[in-house]
Amino acid sequence: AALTAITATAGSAEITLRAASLFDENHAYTKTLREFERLVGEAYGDEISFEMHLNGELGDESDFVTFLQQGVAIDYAVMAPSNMAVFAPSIPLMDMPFLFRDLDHWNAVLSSDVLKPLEDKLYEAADIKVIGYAGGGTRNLASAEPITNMDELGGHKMRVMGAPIQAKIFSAITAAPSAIAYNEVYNAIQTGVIAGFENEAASIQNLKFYEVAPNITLTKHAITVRPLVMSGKTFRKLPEDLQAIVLEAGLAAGAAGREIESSEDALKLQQMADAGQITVSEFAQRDKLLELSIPVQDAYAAELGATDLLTAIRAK
Amino acid sequence: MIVSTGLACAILVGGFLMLVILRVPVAFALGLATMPLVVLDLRLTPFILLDRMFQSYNSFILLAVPFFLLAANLMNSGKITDRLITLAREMTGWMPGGLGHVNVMVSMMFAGISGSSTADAAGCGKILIPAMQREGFDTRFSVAITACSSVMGVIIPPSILMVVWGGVMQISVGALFLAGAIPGMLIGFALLSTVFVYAKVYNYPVAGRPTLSSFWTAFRGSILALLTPVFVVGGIIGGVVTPTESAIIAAGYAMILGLFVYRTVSFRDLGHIFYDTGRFASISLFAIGTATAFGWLLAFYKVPRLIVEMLTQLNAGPFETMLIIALLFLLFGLFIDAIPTIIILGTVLMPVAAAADIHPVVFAMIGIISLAFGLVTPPYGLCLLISASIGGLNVIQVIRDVVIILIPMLIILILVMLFPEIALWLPRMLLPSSL
Amino acid sequence: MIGTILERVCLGLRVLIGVLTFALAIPVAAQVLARYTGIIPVYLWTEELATFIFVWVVMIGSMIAVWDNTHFNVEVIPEAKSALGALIQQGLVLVLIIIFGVFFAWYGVEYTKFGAIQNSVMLRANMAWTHISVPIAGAGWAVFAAYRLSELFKTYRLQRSAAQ
Ligand code: NA
Ligand code: NA
Repeated sequence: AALTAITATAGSAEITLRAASLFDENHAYTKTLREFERLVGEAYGDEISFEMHLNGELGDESDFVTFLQQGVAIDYAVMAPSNMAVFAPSIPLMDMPFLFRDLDHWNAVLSSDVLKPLEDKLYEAADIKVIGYAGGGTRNLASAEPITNMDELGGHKMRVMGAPIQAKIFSAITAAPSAIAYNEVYNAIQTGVIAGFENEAASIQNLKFYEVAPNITLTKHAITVRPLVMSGKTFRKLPEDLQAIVLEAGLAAGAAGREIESSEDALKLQQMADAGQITVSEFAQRDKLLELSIPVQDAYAAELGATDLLTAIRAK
Repeated sequence: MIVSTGLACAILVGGFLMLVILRVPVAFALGLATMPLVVLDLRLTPFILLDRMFQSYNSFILLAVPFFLLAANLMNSGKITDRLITLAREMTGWMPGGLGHVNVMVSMMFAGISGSSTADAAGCGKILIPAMQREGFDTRFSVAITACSSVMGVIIPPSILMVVWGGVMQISVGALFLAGAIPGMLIGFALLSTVFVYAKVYNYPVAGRPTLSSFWTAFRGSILALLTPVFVVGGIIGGVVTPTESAIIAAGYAMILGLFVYRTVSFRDLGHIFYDTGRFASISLFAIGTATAFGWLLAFYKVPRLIVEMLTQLNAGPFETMLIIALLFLLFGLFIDAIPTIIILGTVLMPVAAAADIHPVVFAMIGIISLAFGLVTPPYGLCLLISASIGGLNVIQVIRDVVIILIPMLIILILVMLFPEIALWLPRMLLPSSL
Repeated sequence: MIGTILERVCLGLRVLIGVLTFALAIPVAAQVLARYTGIIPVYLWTEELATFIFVWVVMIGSMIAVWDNTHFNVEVIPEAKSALGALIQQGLVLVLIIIFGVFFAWYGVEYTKFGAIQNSVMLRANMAWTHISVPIAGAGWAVFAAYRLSELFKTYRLQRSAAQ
């Protein structure tokens, strides 16, 4: 019952849509949500208003998934696909490591409808509707000591995100993925329980991870895909004209968000480098990493019955 | 209906207070107070109450709670606590008010081993409160000093609260542990002075005079136990374990001591110890769950944000900001457990502290010390509730003594605000990279 | 009769919480060991298993504490002296716990269904196995508190007939 039709005076019904973000106004996801508000507001007029909870005050992204599934507290959000894996294990496939060749490939995939099978799966399993795609952070290795070649990567104890495909791929490229909760990562690297992790520039900057892991290796192993999602329960209650507006605004806001984040990403790396917070280095044998990860990707897609999808993504 | 912030606040806080006054257990009072809102407000459903509570346990950091409690229970069952009391008696028993000093001293040592204050209040209180009663101490004073001294448990490392704080706010738990040591000990000395004054006023007895050989025996008897903080803090700083995992080191070490070194714990006892730990941990964790749901609703109605907006408008300097932060933590500590307060209030105040140029470690110490005081302030002060029940008293009967004993402790808190170096010096010496 | 059965149920819960608390240490110890020895091929399942056990420990403990009446409360107003006063004072608390328990049990069924459509990421375990602890705990509080309430009435009647 998150969506509320307040029967206001003079018979006009006002709709309020609520969003939540983990971050403050400066973050690309929040900006994406604001852009969505602006676009929908412009197209639909005065009968709609918006509310947003910032800074994760309502919980983390996995909580948002719960709220959206139930249609309670919030109506839409931007989030990492891995948070929806509990409902449909194939969802994290959309931004698994080494999936995209480069930004152009990534943009081509997200501007097309090639991910439609995953969207349908999510709608069916979790009643969550993908209305656009934000994202655009490039994930790199961050470590206490420099990791620049295959030798240094071998056995490198690193924290990976909580999805099996992540652990599998990083094992395949000879690193040693480790079990550490995200809110213990900072302390674990600082004390040497693990030697590093992988993340995008914005997180490294916002959460001050550079203090403990100042060596950034440009493995560019993932370009993030962050679906802009709406609760199915909310969406079906909207009047038909508004549904159309929402879908259109979702696509446009997602594209705008991608533009913002992918351009900010390089900027943030540069800022941190200029401030002497990080040392950036290339990875000598990036081709080798790709080569090692492809069989794992194939096996994973086969296991999920998503071989065709993987082929389609690669063909874009 | 859409419930307004004002009405929501009134229902939550008013409902909670009313239920607590009716003697509804605090954990249930927190949950019951949220019920009208999740039913009434159109934007919410009862699902949210269940889910927020359930998800609060879905946190790896909170596992430190049962493990630190396990370590403390092993110490209590393995008579390690008795050894510490013997040593404390040798060290401070000869002073006027002997057992009172012993009570403080043993809590200081216990604090270095355990991350939990409640286990200290329960373990030491069970032995020392009856002993103090026998030797003519006023029961109210015995209960109050037991409760107040147990708060050192979460200020002197290791500390459950610091593990949670470090995890939630991304600061080094190693640094927090080191930062807590000196303020914690200062609070201990403040307590010893208070006992001294009490002893002079009420003419309390000494508890025997030590000889060099009796001291040596007592020292040898407890030295292995006293080494625990070295392993726990060392394990974290040395990078062997994460802070949460360090709790299992404390428990493992206490188990080895009890089973194999002192042989005061049998494998048969272990069943009981695990049962007691699970049961007690779940009582406080259950309250953390309902408090988290309660706090989530406050956040949903944007109450914390309003508080922060008011604070930023005040444009206060660092010291004033620190005072306000301490007051807010003390205020929350009156009603809810420390861990949900860190999650609800700590995260909201972090930017306020940063804006006022307060060092994150100092901010953490102010928060943790204030929350530790919340352990002895009614209506919801677990350590006070535990000690009072051991002494067979009502919380109301001991308030006066608690307030008197708290005043010198509050002065230490203010000293930490005035001279942040008290907290920062040790981490700066031993772990400069973390500051 | 009912009292004996409930006592047995609670004894079972006590044994269970002891075993689970012990079991809690295993995945966490395994996590540390795996990192240093690589013996256990872990893909982060240790954390998942630990939190699953943890949820059950808390929920079972909360039920035991209702039976034992050991949840912490605050004694702001003095204990009622008269038999009727005690009945009202303690009875009201029990009624409120029953309400909360029924609320949890009722909506907990929905919550379990919500768990049933999810599988944990690492162990691929159906989440209903943990979510069902919610309605079970709710029912446990309600049943235990209801029995305590019936005992309270019994005591009151005995006291009243003794006074006459
Ligand atoms: Na401690
Ligand atoms: Na004490």
